[in-house]
Amino acid sequence: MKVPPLQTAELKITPQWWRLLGVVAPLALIATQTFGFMTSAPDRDMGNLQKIMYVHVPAAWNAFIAYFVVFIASVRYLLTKDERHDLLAASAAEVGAVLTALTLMLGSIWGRPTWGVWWTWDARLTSTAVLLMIFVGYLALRAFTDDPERRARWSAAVGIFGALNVPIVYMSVRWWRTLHQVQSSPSTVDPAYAWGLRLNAIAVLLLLIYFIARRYNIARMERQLEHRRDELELRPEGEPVHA
Amino acid sequence: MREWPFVIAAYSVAWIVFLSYMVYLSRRERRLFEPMLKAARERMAK
Repeated sequence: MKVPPLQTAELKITPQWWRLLGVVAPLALIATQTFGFMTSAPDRDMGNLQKIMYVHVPAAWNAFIAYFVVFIASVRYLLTKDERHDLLAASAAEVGAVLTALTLMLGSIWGRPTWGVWWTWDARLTSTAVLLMIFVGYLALRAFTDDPERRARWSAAVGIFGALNVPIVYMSVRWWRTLHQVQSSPSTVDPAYAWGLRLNAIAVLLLLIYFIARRYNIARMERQLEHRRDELELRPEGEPVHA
Repeated sequence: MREWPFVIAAYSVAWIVFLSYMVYLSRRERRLFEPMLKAARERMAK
């Protein structure tokens, strides 16, 4: 079925302020990574591997923020049935999955020279992998469910369930003392590394906001086309099509 | 200095992931507008 294309008036369905972040966030990331490299001396135990912390830890924190957005938006969808909350949750879930996958890859690159293995069934690694699998499942569920209302309802349930795993992942290093060190934060790392960590986390946060806003904008436009397709399918025989 | 290859690999992977996701979003967005742009081009050609 041929669906009429989007019209010019539909190009700006939400304020486009976030587009500026598409330039600002990568520049901020370059600046903060340079700052991190310039200000951190090699660590006593890990040497220069410590610098991986400036991408690995911010990626993990921002994935958690993305899942927090999924949780709030999913709960709000279930309470209000407003599809904008569903689309926001889906956008945040996709970005969260990307950041979680990145966290695991960076952790693996860190783990090989530090622990001697690319992967081990450590509590933190395993719980993070489970978290990623839940949100890959969430995205698959959305891709394979045609009815928008049912898709939104099921997604909200899986999104809430997935987000409830975040505290388990966060606390796993304290509850099960396996290989991964306890959480890195500005209060637990050496003061020489604290500002590099803070600033890199803020730069990745800007990138996270940009990714979610842009993905949400796309999701809304896709939803408009989906609505239009549904209207066409329900249209009585012979009635003219209005773009 | 055996740790540097791992540091370079980590930063490269991070940037590859960020830039790939940006490209993915751009392509997905462009796919939405392609029919509209095509229709506009056809109208201009007439």
